Amino acid sequence: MKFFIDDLPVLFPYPRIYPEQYAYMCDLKRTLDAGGNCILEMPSGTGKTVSLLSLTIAYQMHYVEHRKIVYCSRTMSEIEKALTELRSLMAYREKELGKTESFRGLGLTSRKNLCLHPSVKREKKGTVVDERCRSLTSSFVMEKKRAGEPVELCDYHENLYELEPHNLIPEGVWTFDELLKYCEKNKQCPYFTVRRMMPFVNVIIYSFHYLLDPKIAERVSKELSKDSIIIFDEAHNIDNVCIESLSIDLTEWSLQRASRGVDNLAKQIDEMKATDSEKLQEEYQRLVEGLREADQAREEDVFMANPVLPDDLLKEAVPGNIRRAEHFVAFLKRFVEYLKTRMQIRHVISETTTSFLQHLKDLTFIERKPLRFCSERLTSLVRTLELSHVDDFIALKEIATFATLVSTYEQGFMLILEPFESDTATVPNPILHFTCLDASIAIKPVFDRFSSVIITSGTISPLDMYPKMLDFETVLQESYTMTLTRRSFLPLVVTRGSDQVAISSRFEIRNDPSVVRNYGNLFIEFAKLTPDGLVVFFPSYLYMESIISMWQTMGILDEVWKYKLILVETPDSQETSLALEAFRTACSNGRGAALLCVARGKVSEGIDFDHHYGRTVLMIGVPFQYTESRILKARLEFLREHYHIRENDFLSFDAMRHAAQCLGRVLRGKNDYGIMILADKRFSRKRTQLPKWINQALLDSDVNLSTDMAVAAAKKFLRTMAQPTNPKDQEGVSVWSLGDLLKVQEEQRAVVDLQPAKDAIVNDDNMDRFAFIDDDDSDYGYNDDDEYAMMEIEE
Amino acid sequence: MQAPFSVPALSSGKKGTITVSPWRNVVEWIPSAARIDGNQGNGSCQVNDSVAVRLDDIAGLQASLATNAIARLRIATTCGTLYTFELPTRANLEALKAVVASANAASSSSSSAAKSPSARVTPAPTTLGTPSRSDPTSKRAILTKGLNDADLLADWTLQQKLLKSHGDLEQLFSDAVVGQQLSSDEFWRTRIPLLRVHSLALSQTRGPYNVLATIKPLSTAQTETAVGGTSQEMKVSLSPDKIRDIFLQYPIVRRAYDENVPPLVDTTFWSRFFLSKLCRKLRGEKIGLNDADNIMDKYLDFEVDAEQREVKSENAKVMRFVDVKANEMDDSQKAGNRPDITMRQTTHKDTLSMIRTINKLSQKMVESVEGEAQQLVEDQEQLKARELMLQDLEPVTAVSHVGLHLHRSPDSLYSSAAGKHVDAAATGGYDSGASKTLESMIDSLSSSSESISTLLSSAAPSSSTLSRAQSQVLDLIHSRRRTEDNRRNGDDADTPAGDVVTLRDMKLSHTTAIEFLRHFWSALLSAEPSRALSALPLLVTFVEKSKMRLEAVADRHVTSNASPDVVKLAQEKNRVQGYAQITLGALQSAAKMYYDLVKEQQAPFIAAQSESTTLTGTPH
Repeated sequence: MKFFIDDLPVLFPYPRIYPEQYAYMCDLKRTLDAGGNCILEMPSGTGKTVSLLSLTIAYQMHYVEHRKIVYCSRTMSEIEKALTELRSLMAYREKELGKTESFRGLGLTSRKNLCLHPSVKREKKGTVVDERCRSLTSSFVMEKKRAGEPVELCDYHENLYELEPHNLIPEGVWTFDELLKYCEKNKQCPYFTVRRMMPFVNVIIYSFHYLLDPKIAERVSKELSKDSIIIFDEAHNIDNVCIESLSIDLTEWSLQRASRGVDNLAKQIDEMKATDSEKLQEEYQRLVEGLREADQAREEDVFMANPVLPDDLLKEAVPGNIRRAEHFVAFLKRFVEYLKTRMQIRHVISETTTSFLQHLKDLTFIERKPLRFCSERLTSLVRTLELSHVDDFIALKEIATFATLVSTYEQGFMLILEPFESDTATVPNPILHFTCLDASIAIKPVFDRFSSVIITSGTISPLDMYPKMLDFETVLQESYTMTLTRRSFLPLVVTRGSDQVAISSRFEIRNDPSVVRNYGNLFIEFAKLTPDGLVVFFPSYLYMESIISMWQTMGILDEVWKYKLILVETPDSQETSLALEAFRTACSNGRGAALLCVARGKVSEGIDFDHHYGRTVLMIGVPFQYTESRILKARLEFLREHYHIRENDFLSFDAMRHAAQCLGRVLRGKNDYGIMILADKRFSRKRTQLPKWINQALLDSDVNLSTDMAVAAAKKFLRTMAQPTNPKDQEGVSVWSLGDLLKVQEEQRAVVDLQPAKDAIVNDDNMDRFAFIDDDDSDYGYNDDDEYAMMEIEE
Repeated sequence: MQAPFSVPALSSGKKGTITVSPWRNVVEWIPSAARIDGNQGNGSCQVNDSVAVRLDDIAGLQASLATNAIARLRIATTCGTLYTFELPTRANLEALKAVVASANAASSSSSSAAKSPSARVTPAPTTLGTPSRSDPTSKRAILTKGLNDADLLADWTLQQKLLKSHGDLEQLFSDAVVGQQLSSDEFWRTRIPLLRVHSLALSQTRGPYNVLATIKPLSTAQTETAVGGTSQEMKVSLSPDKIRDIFLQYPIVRRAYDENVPPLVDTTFWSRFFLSKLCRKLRGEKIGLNDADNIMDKYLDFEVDAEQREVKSENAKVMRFVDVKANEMDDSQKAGNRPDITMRQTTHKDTLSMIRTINKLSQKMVESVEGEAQQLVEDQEQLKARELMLQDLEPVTAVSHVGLHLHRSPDSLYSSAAGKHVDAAATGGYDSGASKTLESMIDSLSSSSESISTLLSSAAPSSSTLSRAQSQVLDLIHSRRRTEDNRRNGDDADTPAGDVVTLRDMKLSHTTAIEFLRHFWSALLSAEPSRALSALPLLVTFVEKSKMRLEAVADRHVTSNASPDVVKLAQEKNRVQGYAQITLGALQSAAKMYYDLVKEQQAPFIAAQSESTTLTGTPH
């Protein structure tokens, strides 16, 4: 259908539209017009992606600025979904407009996922693929080839040079599958095709880290213009992505490899001195003059990019004491040795970066400034030495990254040394965590650089938590409700088993046989009554594993086997993918299956269980984080001190966003239906923290159920769902035709004409919800109720 | 004769050459390094690894789409097996396809006349030690073909099975087909839905299930005390079915059984098995430290299909929407702190193997009934788009109904105008003057108390329609009366002994008669002129015979009841004939209808083709 929002003609690829989609698009348009940021919570499964794309593409095509769209999503599978939707949308636009628009939409993922080189693509590790790819494609290897040296190059990459640089791939939208097919046919490298086409595309779809991780953003996303429309979809977890991109772990093993790397580097320098000392001299000269990477032809083959944010880069020449190659290597060696000695300590240390640097200086006389140049200096050296097999240096790279980060930031970071795996372990396995506590650091450049940033998800409640944590301003925050003509999903909170014993994943009772058995009975009952797919989420891997083996001994799984096949998420992601495929097949062919997975795990991110793939989702326990984790403790403290977010509020918010995310996986479209079970005593008090659209569907009578009551309610629900519906009931209420839409627009105009325009929309709902949490003091005793009690981990 | 044509090809991942030799009447695929291993093919057409298909056994060829990167040729044989070959290039594929197709056409035309037994290259099916029931964990073809009308009519075995399971139907069949030479084709034609349902019902078999989970060994505690705690005993009830399922699901148990049962007693084997670590492992339980069993533990580390699975999982192409591995690989430069201890996935061997066993078992069961899914892979893009579509926003497709116009027709079907009437009703014309008159008459009759004569004069229809209407009314009255009479006669509860025989005969003849009537009308009103033309003459004779048979039954009854009283005899005859009166009437009108039509058609001598089309009004 085609309609107008103000003056903007929008082509929407369906003849009908959900009211919330229209409201969402109107708000998006307002945000783009205002040139600000927004946070929008759009109920899962109401066609968020297609609305986002329809509106932004319409916006891009209609206005002369033709603002580029940068669409970030969480995972590769979600990127592929967005690409597929974009493809359908563009096909629809072409049909409607009667002409093919000049348009290119591409998606980017890692080399590992895109590589076609027959031997490189077989490598198991992503980093190795990267390094091997660099050794076949970097500019100095090509120079060597031109000089006649016998070096191997990648044919797929070479073939790109025979194409016009701005037209490596025809116009249109390319999903990953299609891209690979096309590139295989034309023998060209898909990864570099996308990378080099980025300045010429209308829409680029990639993962968060291409914008948030400075190491990558610097290389990949540097050329994006300031007026680009930035979209973070599925952004409920964005703070963790930000934090991850600036954190680093060092182990004894990585230090050993790093010192081997240093030795190797020294050897290489010696060799070069013997054969080609001019080059080293040249480099030295360049560094003296403070010439930066001006001579660098292309950014994409750099050994490593600077891990710090662009604003924090030092605009000075490399300090004198590390200019000479051999000096720098000695410097690195000293630093690695220092870290090794730190690892010898057998008690937990947690310290600020300032204190770490002070200690470093006291012991080794390493100053802060040369440390900051570490990664830059290493890059320069690797290029000078023309090292092509750089996989020996991966660990060294890590050290350099760490050095640069630790010496650049004073605030918002913490160093935690943990000599033992757990409190009960006796064999030391020290790890030095360098952890970022402040999510706003990594995302700051994005907000600074781009005028419009849209942060959206199906479950991103409470909305005002995000501007606090990420430290930015919004022009609009909105949470949409789901208009429904029948109750198409049934959220239930089960607080006790049929024997009235409370169920909870609280640490003290989580391994209690009666609790485990009650959870087991709940599982059996829902395996019996759920048609096709049943998905069970656990709060953690540890808990899932222990409960599965307890269920096995109790004979609970034997009972479930009668009704469903059972599949479990495993540590191996390839195995998990195959298990998922088997799960989907079993759901499609009528056999039915139950999938057991973890709320923050691999499956919960980006895999949908819509329609028959998930008729029931069973959330066993509240997915709290492990509060004894020192990193989490440090972060909680930071949040309290800097953003005035209290520990319990954050923990509860974090658990509930993950729970809501799991629940939202089961819906797609308003004719889909599903049962959502929250099985934990503590959920009854946390319902207010659920997204508005779930909370509204949760009846007061359904927040404190026992297993048998829940079973009865679910059976009744499924019977209702089996009744035929009259599509007419929906019309004009939960689904609008073009006529309905025009009528609503007419009414809105009439209202606007009557009253003068009101700009800001105050969203009281969210305020209220958060206020409620604040009031709820007594229930959130830090140490007595939830899982914050001491956790001992059995091995 | 053509020279053999050969190209390199991959079959189930192995390299080899595919050769078409028309003179040997065979398409062969031979692996390049012909290995001989113990794996005898399960089909009749497979020797070791090589594949040989007789050319005239080829039921169909299917090549992958031109857009598909992999050139694949699928050969379907008449015995239902499918062979898939992967060819290096598309050109090869096209060439091979052309050669096989032409050779197939040539051989089937020649060999259909003379099928020499010497041409058989298929070795006799090797009988394996297991019972012949299909392996629940092996691939089972999904029933998709064979449900169309022609296939069902041709499926003789299916029909036999259906007859076996339905006594009444068998009786009818033997009467109508065996006794009366109604062609069996004709018989089944009216029962296609029955056949289809039966065929589907037969294809429903119990799917694979987790056998070990269904077996609950009784706790050893009680027996332990009884025996004195020295030797553990296990009470477990195992049906032969269960044992077979265990063997099929876990080849390792079969192996253990084969190798150990001669020394061990059957029951000891099972009781030891259910106590062993092996059983625990297969059930996906944690393996304890005790429960050592020197025999069973030998098999603990055998992973029969592990290697095979590994290779498979390496090559498996997962749909991108669920590709967790690619999701993980999305960020190769991923830094970040490692997850806390609760979120780290275990490397604990026991837990891991437990989870793996659960997954493997489920995967095995899913794979055993796959089939449809395989075909869907062809167009990934469409599949993906379909999965993302919001169905309720799609345009509502108007449901297309075939409107059936049911009229309470005053023209009895049995009257001579039936043929015409069907036509009229079908075209929606329905302009019979008579019926209109009748209706208006009925209306006024019910609303007013005026006499019929005034009514008739006020309606003032033409005299011919009026008389027809009158005769119809009278007919109805007569038939109503006949029914009433029969009912009254039937009510004479005290049936004499002789009647029992008569009644049985009557029932039988009646059913057969109805059967023939059914066929007669279905042929007459069918939309296939050819069928009507070919079947009707025969069917009419059957109809007439049925009539005679019914009358004969009545006669027999009268003669057997040799009563001197003539009046009583006549009464008796009347009574018995009364039973069959309606049937007889129906038979008679059917025959009359046919002859009328024949006469009608022959008079202007219209071509046979158009005759049948008027006969059979095609419903809209």
